[in-house]
Amino acid sequence: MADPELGRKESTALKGESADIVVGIASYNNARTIGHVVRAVDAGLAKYFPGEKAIIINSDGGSKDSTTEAVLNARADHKAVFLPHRLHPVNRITTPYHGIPGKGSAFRTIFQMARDLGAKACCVVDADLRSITPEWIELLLSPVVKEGFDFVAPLYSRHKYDGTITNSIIYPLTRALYGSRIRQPIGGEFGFSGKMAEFYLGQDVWNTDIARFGIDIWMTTEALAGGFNVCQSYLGAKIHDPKDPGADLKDMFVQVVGSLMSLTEKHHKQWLGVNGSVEVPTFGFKYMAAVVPIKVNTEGMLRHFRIGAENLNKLWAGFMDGDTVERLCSLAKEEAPAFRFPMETWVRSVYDSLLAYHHRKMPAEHLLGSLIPLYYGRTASFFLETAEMGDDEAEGVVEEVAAEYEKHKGYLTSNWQGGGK
Amino acid sequence: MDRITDRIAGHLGTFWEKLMEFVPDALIIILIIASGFIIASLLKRLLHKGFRAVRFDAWSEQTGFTTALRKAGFSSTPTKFAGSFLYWFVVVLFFMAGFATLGYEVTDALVSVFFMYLPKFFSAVIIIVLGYFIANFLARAALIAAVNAGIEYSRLISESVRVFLFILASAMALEQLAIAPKIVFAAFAIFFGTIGLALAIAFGAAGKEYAKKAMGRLFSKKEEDGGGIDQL
Repeated sequence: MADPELGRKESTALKGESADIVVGIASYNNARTIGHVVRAVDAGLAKYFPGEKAIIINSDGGSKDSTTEAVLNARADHKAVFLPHRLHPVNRITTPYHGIPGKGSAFRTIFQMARDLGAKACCVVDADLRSITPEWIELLLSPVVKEGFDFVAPLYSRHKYDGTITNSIIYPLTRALYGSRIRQPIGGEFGFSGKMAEFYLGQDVWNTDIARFGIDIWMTTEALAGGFNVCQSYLGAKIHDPKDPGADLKDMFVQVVGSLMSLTEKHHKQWLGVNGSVEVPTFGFKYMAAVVPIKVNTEGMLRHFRIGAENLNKLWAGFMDGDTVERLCSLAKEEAPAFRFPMETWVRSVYDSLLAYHHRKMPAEHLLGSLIPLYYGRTASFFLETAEMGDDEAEGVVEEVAAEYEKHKGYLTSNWQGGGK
Repeated sequence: MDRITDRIAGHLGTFWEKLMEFVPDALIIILIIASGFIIASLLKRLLHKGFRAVRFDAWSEQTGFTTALRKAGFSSTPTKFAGSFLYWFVVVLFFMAGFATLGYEVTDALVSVFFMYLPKFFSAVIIIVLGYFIANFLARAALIAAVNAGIEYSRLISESVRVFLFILASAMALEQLAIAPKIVFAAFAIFFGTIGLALAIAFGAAGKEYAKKAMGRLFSKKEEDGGGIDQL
């Protein structure tokens, strides 16, 4: 239940308060959905952690709608979901965050409050979720509370065409680099221990782009590179509030892949010696979840790839292997049904870009921008390859891509030191 | 006869005196110029070592400076090019300093013109070098942005940006050097005026129908508004 006394308190005003569990929700104009998220969290805490003192923290970026009111006024009907009476009521705090506007700064406030409250376990969930259930809270927190894990990544059922950046670059590259098969490194929902929150808080990144964006990949990578106990929990299908159709994947690609590249550079000592990969412990009961089908414009993506190959080939030649560039140019001549972007060519392109980033061959924004047509080409190829496949079969193709990244990792490690190509 | 001999002896004496006056000056000039060559050589070596330590050639390759040098007809590496430039600059500097010691009006004027022109020369060099890098950077940014916007003639846009900025930088450098400023100004105005006019005509021709519709909508709206007021 919302506590009007505690609502709107700032972290500095929390001295003397304590909590076993902190659930953080970063928000910005999410009045439509955040009420449902808070009700699910409240019910989850009441159902699965009735004896623990818990607080829900909403870190808000100055919403213009009634997001904060929705947080404080959301009521979960505990009887309707057969919940016992809680020993401790779940308090809620809604607070504006300070610093650079972005999800990272919102999370920083949550970490600070978790530390001040002495929380043993924390989790963060997106404010625009439509598919969150009370079970998500159990799945994100129990591995920390009951099994002693430090970091819990989410695992979702997704449509085969959903999460193309994750599938083509974020998951396979993170897996090849750090040797752990975290399937959704930028999922958005995470569970973590109080120790992990304190570790995050101690990092000097809060005035960088991490505070703005890239917080998800940063949290996962820091947990992996820092040697923390990492696992993942199957949450079912993830359904968001419909996104702005004008929002562009290109910006997201540059932000997320840019963050990944800078983290790869930072943690090179940790990944240079890693070979192969292992499964991480996975919790949750996997079931057939209905996923939202996604329409794709393969022809449009191919057109972008062809324009890229025609105009950027000289630029690519500045940091890529000559054979790879030649192959890319010949690929651009292939027509749609038969078009296939070989996994090896894709992986070599990504590794060459990573090396170029490391060896400062080009300004990062140019490098990342020039990679976008290649991403379109590879994604179009993936759509065509998996057109007749079910989600599980398509998942097999994603795994093949990941294996290809691991197979060619030697190319990355051998060119990392020195001047590169 | 004696008078002739005396006059010759007198002139020879004067010549000898002048020569004796000039010889130390000449020796000093030679000494200054010789030390100029030695210092220039030392500085060149130092520059080579410094540039090798910071991998200047690799950086130049990445930034496109090496390509620019090659296009301009210089086959040597950027480090060697910079070394030669510094060497001859120091030599010329010592040459001028040597002549300045003579104290003649002509040499003084020449030397002062040279030294007064130096800041302009360096400003022009800096403008050209910066202009080159900025033009390259922005041309590449335009190329990538145009490609990602799905524009097929992206390279044309990129090259236009590069040429426009380089011409702008060159005109600024020429103005700095005060080389035919009126001609540069007129050429610049004609060049960009022509481009502006061509674009305006192209835009006008291509957007004729749209402009007609927009104007039509504007006037019909005004008439409707007016009608509304009349009715009130």
